[in-house]
Amino acid sequence: MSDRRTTNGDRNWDEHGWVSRLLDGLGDVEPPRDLTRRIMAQIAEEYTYLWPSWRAGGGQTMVRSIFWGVAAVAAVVLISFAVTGYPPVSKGIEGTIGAAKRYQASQIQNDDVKLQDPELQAFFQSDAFHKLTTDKAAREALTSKEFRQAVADPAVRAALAVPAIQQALANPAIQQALSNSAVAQALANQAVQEALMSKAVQEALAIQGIQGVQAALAIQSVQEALAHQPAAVQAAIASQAFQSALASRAFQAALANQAFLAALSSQAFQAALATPAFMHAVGSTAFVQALSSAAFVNALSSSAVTQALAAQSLSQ
Amino acid sequence: MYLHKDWKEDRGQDPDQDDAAQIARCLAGEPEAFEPLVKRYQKPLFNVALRLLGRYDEASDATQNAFVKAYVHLDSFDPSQRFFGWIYRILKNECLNGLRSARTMEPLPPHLMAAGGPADALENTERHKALRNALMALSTEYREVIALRHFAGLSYDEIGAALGIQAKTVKSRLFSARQRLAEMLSDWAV
Repeated sequence: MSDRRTTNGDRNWDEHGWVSRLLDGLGDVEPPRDLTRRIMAQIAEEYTYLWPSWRAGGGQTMVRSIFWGVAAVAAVVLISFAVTGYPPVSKGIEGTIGAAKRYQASQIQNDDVKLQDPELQAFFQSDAFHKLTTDKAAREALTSKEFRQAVADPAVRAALAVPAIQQALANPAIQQALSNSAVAQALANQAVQEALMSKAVQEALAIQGIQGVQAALAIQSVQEALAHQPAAVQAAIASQAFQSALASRAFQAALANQAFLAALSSQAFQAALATPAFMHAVGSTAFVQALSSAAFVNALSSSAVTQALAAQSLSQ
Repeated sequence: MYLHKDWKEDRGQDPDQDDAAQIARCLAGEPEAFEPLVKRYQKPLFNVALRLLGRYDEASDATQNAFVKAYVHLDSFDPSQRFFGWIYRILKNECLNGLRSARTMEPLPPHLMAAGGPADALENTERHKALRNALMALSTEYREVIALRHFAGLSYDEIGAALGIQAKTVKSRLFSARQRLAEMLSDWAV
């Protein structure tokens, strides 16, 4: 073996230059034209849900996972209760839920909640699930710890197998609401979660059905309020008075009132919702009692009142 | 910097920072951010795999597997290191696994080494065939430094970083590898 060295004693690393030229003469070989597509397709098919992950550690990624996870689970639970009426509502309001039953699939009773894996499989194979998995926010939610816990819950698993719920999850309004970070953050609040799990709220949701949930979540002013006054909104939702209001016939009637919904969506009402004073008022007993009055609801629905609500004086 | 290969010239002002940014996007839930990394590095990685394995299809599979495994383990990538060096180590393991599997099969006749793909269209001279056969006759240790230097266009420092050895060791290993090739290809010396 030769060990030729340069005049300064270093090895001449460029020895065998003709070999280097021969090697360079081989040139580059182009990889298959579809290699990039194949790689990305395999990642999309097998590892779409990988990131973000709990493995990624703390910080914003984990926080987002928690928010979206809770949002998805809360939505599933809400819609489940709204559609199936499970758990059954108390006798005291039986008369008011008749109209909502048109949204219900076969009623699930406590004894009926015997879950089989095929039920879950049916949901995972549905178009609704496919649509969810193609949505970035939903993908994050579906890979979360909260979602895994939720699908382990018998009631949720039973609800997921109901076609009406699958249909609701595929609804753009629901998906849009879930993609709103303010909604997610609000749903991540423990007080709100407890409120959502309360009997009064569940009864209200059972009465209002999917359309009520959609209407509430899809209203931009509500989302804006959640974004700007999350603490106030959460406090209002968590208050016993507000929950009672939700369950009241007057509020149900109000949500069914197109003028009232239009008022909720107005710029003026949106501005009012952004004020702490108004949110405090919404959670008050007086406001709830007032909501039971048809005249008050009608008044709230008028443009004059919504503009007044938005007035600076109200927030002070 | 060894600038023989065009893929390095197309990497922009700060390729390492750009790579880190793409990886951060992937980890944040944007799998599509991985595609620029695939496009940027698939050619040098494929060429290295081709020289290590000697077969077009196997090199393609190894490259694909390396990228997918890199994506799966993206959270273990150290942004202070170069992405190429990291994914190369994944590719090398893929290739070594492939070579181990190949040993259990019937050895290919020398005239079919590295045959069977579009590479043959470019490498159809007798000299190139002899060179390909000589490359496959080298040890893996020698073959990889040759591949990284001549087919991925890496500098000594970059090869050292990828292999976890000093640049001086890279030079020494390259010298020995070329010398071994020179002995095998003496009939083609110019």
